[in-house]
Amino acid sequence: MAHHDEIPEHLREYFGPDKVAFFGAGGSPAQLAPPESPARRQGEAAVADALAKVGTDAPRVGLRPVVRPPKPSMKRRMRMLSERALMEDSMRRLGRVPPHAESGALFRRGFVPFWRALPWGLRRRMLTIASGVKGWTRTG
Amino acid sequence: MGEPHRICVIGGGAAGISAASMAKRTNPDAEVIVCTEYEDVAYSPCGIPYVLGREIPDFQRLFLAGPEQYVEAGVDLRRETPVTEVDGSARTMTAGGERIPWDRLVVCSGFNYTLPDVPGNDLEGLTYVKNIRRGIELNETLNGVRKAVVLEGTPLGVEMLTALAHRGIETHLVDEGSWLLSQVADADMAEPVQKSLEQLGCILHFGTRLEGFVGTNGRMRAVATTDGEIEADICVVATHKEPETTLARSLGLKLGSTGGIVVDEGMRASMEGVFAAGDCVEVPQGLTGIAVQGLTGAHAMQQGRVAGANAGGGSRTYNPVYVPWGMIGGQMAIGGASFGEHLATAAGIPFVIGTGQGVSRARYYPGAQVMKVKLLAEPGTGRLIGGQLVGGEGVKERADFLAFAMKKGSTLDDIAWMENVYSPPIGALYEPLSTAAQNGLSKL
Repeated sequence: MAHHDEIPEHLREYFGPDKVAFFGAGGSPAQLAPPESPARRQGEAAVADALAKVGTDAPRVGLRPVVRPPKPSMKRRMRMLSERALMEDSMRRLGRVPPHAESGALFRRGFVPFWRALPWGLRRRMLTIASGVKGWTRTG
Repeated sequence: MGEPHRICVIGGGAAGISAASMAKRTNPDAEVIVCTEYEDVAYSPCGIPYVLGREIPDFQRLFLAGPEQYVEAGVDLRRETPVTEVDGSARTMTAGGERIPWDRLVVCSGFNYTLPDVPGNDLEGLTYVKNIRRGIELNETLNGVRKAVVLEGTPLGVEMLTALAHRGIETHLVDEGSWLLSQVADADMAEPVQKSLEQLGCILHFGTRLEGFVGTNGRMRAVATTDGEIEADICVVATHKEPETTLARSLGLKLGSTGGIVVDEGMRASMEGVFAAGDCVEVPQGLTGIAVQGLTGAHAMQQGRVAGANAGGGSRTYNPVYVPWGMIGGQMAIGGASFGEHLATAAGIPFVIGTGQGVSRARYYPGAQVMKVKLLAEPGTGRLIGGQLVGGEGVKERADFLAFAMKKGSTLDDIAWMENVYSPPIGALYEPLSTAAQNGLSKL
């Protein structure tokens, strides 16, 4: 990076040439909220609390923010399956590495060629019916 | 329904906090209560990967406000108070064991990552980047990590690849798709980012399916894939953002084709007096009307403002989205708006392409960086339907500009003949967007 020499020595630890923050060169260092401000106090308290829990069995909120999606409605399921098949087909056309195919033969060999063969006007209407949001007035 | 006296907000993220603030500002007489299960509000979760990557020195800097500031503004902020039940007919909710009546309810319940449905998905070592306190703990854990896997090359996945590589951790990406960011970006636009990540030391496995997590004594030690077993101390799960709709479903709110809550232009859900905003809702994409969900923090904040204003008795409208996006992967910036070639091909939308290359500053000015641009337009009319950019500085501003240009119905001709700033340190004579549009005009 051309501007590395312009970065003050004390900032190079964080703004080194291999760091994202260096991107664009220069600028102000990461700012702390003013001392005694509510944001500063909250930040310090949060860090102290989280560090105290490291390596302990203390109860924690948000440890596994992960879910098995609820059973999809027919509408959602059809969208997921058709979207997946169409994305995979596009990746096969445009990518150098084939995607790991997950969509079944019905969608891959039946739905995708059928969809591609439809005229755009009909495809657009089907997209709106199947996946469109109704009742908004400013859609294009 | 008369003037709302009590407005309850579920969730303290970007949507929930902005909804509460706007509701109070719109209707200062209303009692506004925000309940969140977490300890903190008003911090930037989007900054977490950059502290983990050591670009930002510490987590304190991500805090933007303290809870006192909401109290001063008249908002009753209840932290560590999960809402466990909502009763639509009695118009009450149960939070922290207390039954709270509401006149208007704003649901901003956010998202969860989709659980990989494979053996070993409950092992210790599966890691999620979402909550700041868990991020602080992860930062400590990373000191002892030698090898890591990032599951899926989503925007968060790309940020985490960069962050972990900066920490000197051997980092692998496992992705079923054919290239990086394949849910939004084109293969040719993602390629410079992939190369940059590889230069940082990341090992990218595309077209590779996760088969399971392998562990010993409840602790993950490897990730099994169709490309073989990858030894790793942790796996960052950066899968799809599944809308959190447990309470919405119990209320009987209508869900759409993405699984998100259906809302109208005023962010009103399907039950009178109930609003929703953020990652738990779906909104229409501006060009096609197709429902989209799981957008950015900026979208969540704006949706929350609209929901809050209307819950407070105001009359605001949220517009369909053109989804400007952008990020850094390795040392490259990539971004865009609406459709790229890949998404348009997948949806079967007809398009012509205009590509161009330019520089971010005058060619002779130090620090000029190359930018590659691809624009998509409707055949015949030339109406812009999308664009992507990859390169150095200026990607974000151009992605924002493209989204706005599309919203206003701009054409390739408009962009080809647009005015642009020419000042050697900040802009070249030829604007890269304009060059791409000029090249696209001949294909209409």
